[in-house]
Amino acid sequence: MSRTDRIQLVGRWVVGVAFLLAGFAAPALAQRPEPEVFGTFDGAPMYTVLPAGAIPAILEPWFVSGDAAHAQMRAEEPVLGIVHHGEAKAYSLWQLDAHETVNDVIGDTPIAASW
Amino acid sequence: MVHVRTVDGRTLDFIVSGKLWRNSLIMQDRQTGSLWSHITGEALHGAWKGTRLMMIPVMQTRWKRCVKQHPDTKLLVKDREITNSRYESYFEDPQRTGMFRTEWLRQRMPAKALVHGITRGPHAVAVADGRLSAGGFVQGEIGELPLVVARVPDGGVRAHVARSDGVTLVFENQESAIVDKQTSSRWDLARGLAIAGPEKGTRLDELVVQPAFWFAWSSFYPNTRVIDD
Repeated sequence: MSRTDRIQLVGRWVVGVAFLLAGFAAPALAQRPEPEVFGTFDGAPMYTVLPAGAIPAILEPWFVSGDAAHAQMRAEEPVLGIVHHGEAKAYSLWQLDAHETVNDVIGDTPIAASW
Repeated sequence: MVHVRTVDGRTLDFIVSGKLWRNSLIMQDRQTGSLWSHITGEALHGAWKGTRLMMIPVMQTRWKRCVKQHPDTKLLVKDREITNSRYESYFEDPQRTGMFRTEWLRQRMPAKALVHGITRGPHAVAVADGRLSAGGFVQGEIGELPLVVARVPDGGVRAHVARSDGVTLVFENQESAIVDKQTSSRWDLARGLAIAGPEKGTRLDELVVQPAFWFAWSSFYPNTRVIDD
């Protein structure tokens, strides 16, 4: 394979992956053709947009506080905050965009935070 | 949205189902594969069908406000640097209302108006975000119950039943304190707690507030009442 062929091949691959990622990363953005209807509930269709688990929920969350937390955050960064039984937790909404669901325990109560 | 993920003594783990209903997230539990709406907390399909998860209050705010009010806040660790929202253009574009066409109440408010929604049985109420200034509160009813909805210091919004011993409470601002007209007690509406006066120590029942875009809220709850005046 010549150098030019290799470059073209890599180029095509990059473009292909970029399209795949664009479709995957922004499922809610594009007005695409309607995907598969899974069923109708309460008169409204439920659509299958991605395979289950394609957006990775957080199942084992880890936390930091104080300076370590400040170092990860911007002052104006939007958060989802919970104060429950004396414990305060925050999830960056920018981070939740990529995970949508966090399985957590707060003050002994197992919770699911979703965005 | 924050739900208690224990039902009938069993704790469930939730993944993202990849399904959308009314343009909103459907969660799936790993134990039975049942499909749950994160807006209503109800299982629509599977072994848990018809079961509803309990909701707990949550606030949508900014990091600095959250940590100022709660300095010991535990932050979910980021595994990499994240400096913006991948859906920023979606959140900011007033025309984009999710992937699929849905029915919602177009006339009442702009699609992307942020509202704070409350449900109780068949009743739903939405408070326009712009109606709640810093330290502000509004009153209204949900079904037969009097309601007080307040912006609290950490930037969140909390709602309580404005009734004590069968008496409906009407709140007013007096010299930067919130006081009820019936007993002249002072209240902390973040906790629904009377902090001074004859009612001192009384705690009002809390109702869970859900932040949502208007188009989503009104598509789930087309019968919703709106407090926006």
